[in-house]
Formats: sequence, C-alpha cells, structure tokens
Amino acid sequence: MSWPRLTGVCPSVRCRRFAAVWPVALVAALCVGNSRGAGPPEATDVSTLQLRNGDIVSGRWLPSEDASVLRWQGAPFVSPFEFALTGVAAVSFPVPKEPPQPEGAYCFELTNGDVCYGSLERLDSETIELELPRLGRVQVPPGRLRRFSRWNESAGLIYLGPNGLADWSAAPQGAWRDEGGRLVTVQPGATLLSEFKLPPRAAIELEISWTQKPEFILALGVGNDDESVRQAFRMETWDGELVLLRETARDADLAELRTLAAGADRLRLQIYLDQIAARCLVVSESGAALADLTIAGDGKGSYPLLKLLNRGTGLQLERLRIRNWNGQAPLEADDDATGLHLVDGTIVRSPLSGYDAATREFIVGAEGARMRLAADRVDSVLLSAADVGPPEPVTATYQDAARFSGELVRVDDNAVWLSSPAFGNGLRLPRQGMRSVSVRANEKIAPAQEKGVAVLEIEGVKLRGRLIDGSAQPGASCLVWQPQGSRTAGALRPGATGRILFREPKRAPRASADTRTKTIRVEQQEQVRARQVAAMAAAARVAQAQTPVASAEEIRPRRGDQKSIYLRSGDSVPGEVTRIDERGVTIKTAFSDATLVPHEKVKAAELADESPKSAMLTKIKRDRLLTLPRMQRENPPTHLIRSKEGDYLRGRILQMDDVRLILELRLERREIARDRIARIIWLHPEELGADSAAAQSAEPDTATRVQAVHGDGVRLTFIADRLVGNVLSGKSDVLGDCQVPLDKVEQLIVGGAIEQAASRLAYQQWKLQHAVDPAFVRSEDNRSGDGRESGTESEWVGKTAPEFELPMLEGGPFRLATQRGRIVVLDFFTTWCGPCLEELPHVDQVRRDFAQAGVQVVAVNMEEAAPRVASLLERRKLQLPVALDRDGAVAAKYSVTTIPQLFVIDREGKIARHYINAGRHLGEDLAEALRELTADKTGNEPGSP
Amino acid sequence: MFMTLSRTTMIALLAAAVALVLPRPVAAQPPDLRSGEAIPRDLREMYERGVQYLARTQTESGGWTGGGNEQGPGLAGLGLMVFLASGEDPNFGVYSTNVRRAVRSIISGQNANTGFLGSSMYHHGFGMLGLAEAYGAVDDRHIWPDRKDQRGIGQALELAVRAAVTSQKKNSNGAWRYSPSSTDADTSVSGAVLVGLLAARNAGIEVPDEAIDKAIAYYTQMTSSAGQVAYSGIGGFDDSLARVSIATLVYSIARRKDLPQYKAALGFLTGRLEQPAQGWPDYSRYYQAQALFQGDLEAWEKWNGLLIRQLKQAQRSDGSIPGQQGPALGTAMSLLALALNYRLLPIYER
Repeated sequence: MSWPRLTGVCPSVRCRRFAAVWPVALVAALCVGNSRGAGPPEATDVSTLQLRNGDIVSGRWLPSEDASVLRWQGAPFVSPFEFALTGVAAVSFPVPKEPPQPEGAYCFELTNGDVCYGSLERLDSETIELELPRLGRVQVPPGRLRRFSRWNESAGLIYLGPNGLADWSAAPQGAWRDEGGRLVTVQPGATLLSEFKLPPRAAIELEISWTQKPEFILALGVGNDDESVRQAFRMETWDGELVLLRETARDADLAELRTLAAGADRLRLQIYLDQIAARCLVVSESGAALADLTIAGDGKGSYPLLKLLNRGTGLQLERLRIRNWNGQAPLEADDDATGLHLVDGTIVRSPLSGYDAATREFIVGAEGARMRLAADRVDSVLLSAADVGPPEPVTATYQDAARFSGELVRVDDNAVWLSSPAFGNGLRLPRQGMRSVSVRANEKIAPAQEKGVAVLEIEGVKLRGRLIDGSAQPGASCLVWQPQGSRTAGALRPGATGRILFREPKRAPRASADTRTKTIRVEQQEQVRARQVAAMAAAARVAQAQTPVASAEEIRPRRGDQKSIYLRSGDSVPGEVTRIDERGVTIKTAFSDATLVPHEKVKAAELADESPKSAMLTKIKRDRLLTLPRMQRENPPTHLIRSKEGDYLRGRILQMDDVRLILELRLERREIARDRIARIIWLHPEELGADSAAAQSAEPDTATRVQAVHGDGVRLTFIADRLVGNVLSGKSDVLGDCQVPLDKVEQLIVGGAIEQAASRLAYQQWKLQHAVDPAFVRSEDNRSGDGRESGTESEWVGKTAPEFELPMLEGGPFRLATQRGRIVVLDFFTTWCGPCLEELPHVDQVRRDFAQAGVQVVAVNMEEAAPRVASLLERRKLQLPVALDRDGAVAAKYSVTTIPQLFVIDREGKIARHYINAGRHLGEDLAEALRELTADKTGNEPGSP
Repeated sequence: MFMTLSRTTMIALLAAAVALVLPRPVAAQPPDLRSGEAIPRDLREMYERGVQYLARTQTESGGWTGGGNEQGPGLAGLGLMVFLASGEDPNFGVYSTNVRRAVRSIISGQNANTGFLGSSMYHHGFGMLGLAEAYGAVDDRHIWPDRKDQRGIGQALELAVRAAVTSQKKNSNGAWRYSPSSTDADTSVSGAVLVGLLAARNAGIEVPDEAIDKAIAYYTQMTSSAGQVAYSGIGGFDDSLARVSIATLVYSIARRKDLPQYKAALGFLTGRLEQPAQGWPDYSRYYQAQALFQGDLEAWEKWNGLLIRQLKQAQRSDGSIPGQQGPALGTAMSLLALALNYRLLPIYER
C-alpha cells in the first residue's frame, strides 16, 4: 500500500534540512521582491485580462513602454505579471450599468473594422476629416473609410449592450455573471433570454467570445416557448463550424457561415432579421455576405425575443447592438462601385466625390456630371475601399460601441497608444470609457504545450502555470505562482480562496458526434433532405445531452482499506481510533505524532468493515435518522453509531476504548461492544438547521490555509509557510507539523474554499435537522394562524369602561370621564411583574406613534410607591404617563386579577380591545387596533398615524 | 475562637456537620446521600465562577441592580442561598460579607408592622426562604454589630411568616398572588411563598399546619390527573415544567408524597427529562432540580448530567449565567439548581 508521504515525525529536523539545501536568501529575496509590487488594485478599478489559452485574471493594466509585453497586476497577487502580448486575448474594463449612447450624426465604418461615431467635417479626394468624441478632429486617408450611415444620435437604436444582466433573463440562477459589463458563463446549458424586444425587422451586431471551443446556439426571433425556439432562425456551432439554419414542421435550410477557431477567440457578425419576410442575412464584420436564408415560419407572426444557449465551457456575450432595420439588404462590400442609399430607398450608384460641410450636401458623380444631394436625404454611403492588408492586431472598444484598431505602441495610466494606418498612425485612446482591448490571435505563434502544468483557480482568476519555491512573508503567502506566458511570478496574498489543480480527476470519455457538415441547400419541396438537416442538428443536441454532469464528491469507505478519521475541515486521515473521551478522539496515524483530536474538529471515524449483508439506508430512513424532535432540542444527540450490520443508534458518546463504547441514550447510560461498531459520525449541535457551507464559514484567513487532496482521497489541511523543491511545509492544527510532496497531490484547496469543498463530502452531509413544529407552536412563534388573539375575544369588549379618577405620578389627576372623544389606552402593571416590563416599551412606542391621532396612553401602576415607579421609568427610559392606583381599587373595577392587562377605550367610552399578557407582539397588535379605531372617525383607510 | 476554614475543607465538613449546627429537626437520610459522591471538578469550578460573579456584582446595600426583577428581597434571598450553598463558612468565610449584606438587605426592607418583605409576594417568598436557610447558620451578632435595635434573622423570619399567613387568610383560594392583599391566586407565586413557609417550619419557626394544609389543598385542586399544573383560575393545564416542578416540590417538602397528585406530577416530570422549558428556563430549572431530587433520585441524576452540560455551555466568561430577568437572577437560580449536587442547604434535605 502506498500512502502519500505526509511526514509529520520530527518535522523541525526536516524543515531545517530543506532550508539548508535551498538557499534561504534566494527564496526570501523572491518573496520580498514580490511584496514590493504595485499594490492591490482599487475595488473600482478591477479589470479582467483574458489570455489566449483561455485563462483569465482580474486586476489592473499597468503602464508599459514595451509594446510586446502586457504588465498586469492580478488582484490576489502581490506583484505584477508580464505577459507576452501574443499570449493575450483581451482586457475588459468595468462598464457602468447605464453605458453611454453613441453620440454623433454618423456611424463610420472603416475598412479595418473600426467603428466610430461623430460628424463628417470634410471629404474630398485628398482626405476625410471626422470630428469624434474623445479624439477630437481626426483624419482618415481616402480608401480607409468603408461606409458611413446616418446615426442621428442613437435614433432607431433598440438595444446597446450588454450592460450586465439588466434586460436579460438568465438561467439557471447564478450561471451567468456580469464581468465588466459583458456576460460570462462557464456552465453548459446556461441560457440568456432577452427582456428587450426585437422589432420585426432588426439589424443586429453581435460579438461573442469563448475560452476553449465555440459551442453555442443563438436563436433570433423567439417567444417564451421551446417550439418557437426550435423554429426560429438559429446560428449554431457544429463541431467548430458556424451555421445559420431554420427548421420548421415543413421545411429546413442551412448555410455554413465560417469555421471558428478552437481556443480563445471571438466572433463579430452583423445579422439582418426580417421576420415579416421570413428572411435572415448574415454579414461579416468586413461587410461580406455570409448567408441569406428565406424560410417561412409557423405563420404566427413575429416573435420578439432573442435567446443564447451555451453548450460548451466558457462563453461570453461581448457586444450586442440592435437597431430598427428598413428591410433593405446592405450594400455588398465586394462591389467596387460606391453608392448611396437614400432615405427613400433609392440607391444611387455614382462615386462620391466630396462633401460640402457648409451646405451639408454630398457631391456625387464623375467630373462633369456632378450633382449635389442634401445630407439629410442620404441614409448610408458605401465608399471604394483600399486594400487594407492583414487585420490590425489590437482593437480597443469603448462603452458606446466605438472601436479602434492598430498596433500597440505603449500604455500609460490614462491612455492606450496605437499605431493605426486608418487614422494616420499615432492614435491616443483615453482609457476613460473604454470597455475592452482585444488582441488578434497570431496563428504563426503556436500556443505553449507544457506538460505538468497546473491550474490556479481563485475568484476572478484562472491561470495555468506552476508553483515555484517561496516562503511566507508579511502580506505574501508562500504560494508563488508562475503563470504560463508571463516572465514574472507573483505570490498570492494571504486570504485568497480557491484551488490549484495539478491533475483532473479521471472522467468517462465524452461522446462525440460526427457533426461535420457541408453547406446544404434545401429546396422547400425536398422533404428528404430537410430530414437530413434535422438529423444533423439532432445529432449535435444528443452530443450535448451526454455531457457528464459534475456530482458531489463522495468518500465511501472501501472494504479492506485502512480506516480513516474524517475531520469537519474535510481532512481524511488514515489511522485508527484508540480512544474517545470527553477530551476528544485519540488516534494512531502514520502521519503525525499528534494523537488527540478535539471533538469539535471530528466528523466521522471508521472503526471496522461492515458486514457484507449490512442493511442499506434509504433517503427516507436517513432523513428520519437526522430529524431532531422538538422535545430533544436542548439535548440533541451528538453521535450516530453504525453497527457492522448497518443499524444506527443516536446518542452521546461518553467514552470508548478498545473494548467497549459507553453511550448516553436519552439520559440513560448504555454500553456497546466496540467490535460491533463499523463507523461513528459526529453530529455537532451548531450545525443544526444550518446549511452545509454556512455552518463552517471561517473568518477571513490571515495565513495561507491549504488542503492537500490526494487521488486516493487522503486530505490534509494545514497552514502552509514554505514551498521548497516541490515540498510544501506547514502546520496542521490537528496533526502538527507536516510536509506534503506536491507530486502526490491532485489539488491544493486554498482558504475559504476548503469549507466549501468539505461541505460537498459525503460525511459532511450528515447533519441534524429540526423536526417541523406542530401548528400550535408555529402560531405561537410567528403569531400567524388561528392562535393569534385579536383583543376582541374578551367579554369586556363592547361594555362601558368603568369611570375612575387617579393621581398621576407627575402630578394632577386623571379622570376618564374627561377623555370622551379621545381613544384611551390603559395598561395595568407593576414594577415587579416581568411580563409587564416586557410590554411597557411597546406601549410607550405606541404612545409616541399615536400622540397626534387623539390617543391617550396611561399606564396604571397597582399598589406601589411613587418613587419605585419613577425609578423604573428612569431606568427603562420610559416616558409613559403613569396613574397611581395605590389601593388597587381601579384594578378591582376592571377585574384585573392577572397582569399585564391592557384596555383600549374608544371615543364613546366603550372598551374596544382587551389584551391579557399579550407578550412581545403587543406593540404590533395594539398599533393595528389603533389604526383601525382612529380610521373609523375620519373614514380614511387605516395607516400610519 | 472561630477559625476560618478553607473552602474545600468546608465542603467536606459542612455536609456532615450541617445537621448538628442547625437548631431544628432534620429528617434522617441514607448514608450514601449524606456523604454524597465527589463533586466533579468542572462543576465546582462552574459554581465557583458563578458565585464569584454574584459576590462581585452585589451592591453595598446587599442587592443586585439591573433589569427586570433584579432588585428586591427575592433576589437577595436567592443570592444569599447561593453564598450559603457554596460551602464557605457563612460567618467567617470568603463570602461572609456578602451573606451579611444580603441578610441586612432583606431585613431592612421588611415592613416592621406587616412583616411584608416587599415588592411582591414573589419577593416575599424567596426572601423568606433565604432568611430560613440563613437562620441558625448565620450569626445574628455579625449582621448588625452596631445596631442593637434591628431585628435578627429569627425575628424577621417569624414576622415574614406572619405576613404570609395573614395574606393567605384573606385569600379565598388559600394561596397567594402578587399582592399580599390579592384575592386570587396562582401556582407560581404561591410556590415561592409556600416553599418559604415550609423552609421556615423546617428551621423551627412556628407555621400553622392549617396554612400548609390549605396551600397544599390549593395545589391539589390545580393539579390534573395527568400531573399537569394550571397557572391560575380554573383549568388551563399545559406542559409548564416549572409549575409541575413547584407542585412536586411543595408536596415533597410538606411530606405529602402520599397524594395522588404528587405521584402524577412526579410522573409527568420524570417522563419529560429532556423536554426544554417553555420560557423562563432558569426559573424552570431551579424548581425542576429540587423536584426531581426530592421525588426520584435516579431521574435527578440523569437530568442533573444534562443540566451541568447545558449550564457549562451557557455560563459566560464573567461567571454569569443568562436569564430572562437578567444575569444576577439567572445566575442565582441556575447555581441553586446546581447546588443540589452539594446538598448543603437545609431545604434540599430529603
């Protein structure tokens, strides 16, 4: 048998030996150097870096003069990384909930894919001048401007986003997250359904990105029902191919759009959806027509929604712009001739030779045949394009959807500098208002294929790489991460929570479908071919349905294995229980000299194999076993003992040695032979009724707590303080000093994630639950149901209140007769009556609340001296008017034999409510009654006084 | 000349000597109960921390301040019993000053004419009980060293008994309620007064048999055949462990274990050893401890284990044990429930 070597014997000697082998100065220098990093990013300044290999890390983009390197301060790290720009996919910045709308008269589309909004200032054969927000006056060489169209200050815009999850119904709950404005999911099957509505004719600009393999469906023009989604125009990914298709009950058609790259990449498309004409056009970002399908729908008219389904791992909806569309197909970009689309639908196929800014007129036609067109007659203009060469490597996109591309020159705190031929090279792009900067994949540079690479996963971070040597320093943990593609490493800050995955657990091979498709043109009458298309789509769906679903981790004792002790932290330590007593559990384990584990840390212990015929435990039986009766709430059982035959016994273990177990069972003492016991599970009172993760939520870690998880299920939690030569050292609060060779570890869980992971383990699910209270108890607790007294049940209600006159504590008399026309509240009390003292603050509150509503509150003290009453009022900070019923005569008139008692007398002097010992709910009951009574006179609805 | 004994010595000695010291008849007890088993260390420490809390928070005038019923002769009487039950010498031990302050507090608040200890009959009952437990154990000469005109413990106790009996005579139920002049009664207030009277009688003070018999008759009327005990008026039987415990206790101390109501009440209690109190847990456990101890020693031992466990968890770092009427009363009642383990108070004798 080979256990991982978690050495704990003579640890100090081992630590010293490692320290001698590895230069301490080098390790210290590394960690100290790290701690001099750029400091933690401000909470409002957290952006996300997306790497080409699909990794992400939240943090802050640091200035750099070196354009080949992106300097990034990851949020949970103490020092910055320096990633090669070729390994970077994008940087996303935070986006406000209400992003700005594009401003300007025109939307300009450049040949390199750039889009900007602004005004046209000059256009002739020499140059084009634009006035753009943020950038001011810029010049664009002729041949670089591909198209421009009337924008008219966002007129016709339906949606521009995404702006987080606003305007979307996301399912399942929590599957999508808002990451700097874009919507991100890693959950297969996650869907987004728009809450905004598509017009029947819509122009849709879309940008989607993915981290590994593009796998999604985008259904356009759908309702809330599945059938409309099935029959809608859909863009689907079929094994790397992007297709546009539609399947109805009668017809089907499909067009292949393009092949999508595996690995992190993105897709930008323009879609024109005409639900009236049952037509869908797809145009590439450069304006090339990719598909044009026309298939009649179900005849039920247009559907207003849009639905996105993730079928793969990581998918991001980056940008979506929806505008009203007039139904006219966009000018084809591969048509060399320039042309103008007029607002009346006319197309003018003449070259555009100039623009007269003074008269706001376009000049069209060749020399000698020129004519002028007023700008407000022109909807869009397609210009002759120059050969633009390869696409620019870097694209910056703003929150208002403007985007600019070029080569990265440098980055400073305020701006990103690009070299852009489209804008005459030097382009200073302010970082303010920017939503992302993306880097085009360089196919000439193959992604690194390192072996033995681990993955660091903590909040906002997924980074491939490896741990390098380090030791804990103030403000820096000993976990120093060297990401793939970065020339620098960074130590994690203490308090980080997540995991380092060294190797994935083995899983069943995933079914793959032969979804390779060819472009198929299906004529409407060719039903056979339509069925083929449908079959291909079905095959792709089946492949998705067979995706394995992650399940809760299980630890099941295996027959013949060495027995283990399971801790609440999730630790699983092979060993033998030698004794249990009030101090804790004494164990014998090869991993530590420490032998005593306090009860509060233990979750379960295996003592012996079960009989092959041991009884199975059904869920119903288990629930019953874990249900605590109301009468035992103050004495819950603390242990579950499972016999070798599968029987369970609940009780409180007092002691166990190698012969017998002494148990308190319903306060009786019982003895059981130890050799009859297979397992013991600890039931901790503080877990009662708590959900699994919250029950053990730990304080934020100041040191680096890790749990090493081995492939065979052994887990060990400790405070890590040094990593040298792939051996992680630290101290377990249960087992003492320990050292863990990482080559035996499957994953290293860090910080608060330890409790979350532990909560998914089998034994951690064993928690007592309170039995459901009977109805009378619930009504008493919640004041709901039939048990609630309304104050009108008393025989006093409706009778005339007995007259009386009493001296007031503050002086003067109180006569009930003088209170006609007012509502009077009389509260009989004494200073020694606990329930009375509980009620008095409520009565005082009601006095304040209803002071302006004609309500007079008087507390009637029974048979006590004035100084004692005054002392009580002062001590309790009460300002109640108190009448002194010194001989108890008034109490006798009202038959007050039990206190507290409270009477509400209406304006006519009749008793309207009578409460006897109403308890803590008196305040709300009394206020409700007074609202009702005060509303009677005015005819107003009951409300606050 | 007196010697100051160490606390541990006192625990050992007082258990055996208490019968000799007290000037009254003491019922014979089985030898094993007289000597008792060794008190577990954690219990001793818990009690010690609690009694130190009460000693620390006691005012110069002998009472305790705070919310609810944290003032008055009732709490002074209960606090006094906690000091007496600690095993320290009441006249010269570490808490002798606290004992004297508590006694002075009760006596000085007493109405010299009526004997009413003050505030309510709850306070009167518990104050009377405290005086009864101190009577014979606390030397009067140390209570009022400079004031010869003040009542001694015996005089104050006799006067208090007279007040209780007078109040009872005016009460058609033959029992008590909050006010000494109340004409109705409840089983909670009446328990405080009746136990006080029984303790006084045990201490040698003359208490008319008629008074005890009438009060016991009241309890028999209020006890159902199933053992439940109503609060006040007619009917209204519920699961109040506090009231069932009070009834069981008064039947026991009044030596009326022959009554079917006693057997029913005791059966009700022993069948619900794990049942949580419905409100006022400190008040409930104060009576439950004594009722079980008097009624069924085996059941008390089981329940006592649970009590120790619960109080160990409830006790705060300052030694106090929370209660619904504040920490002083909660601590006093909880410690007196634990004090059955010491069995030093006369009222705990079986």
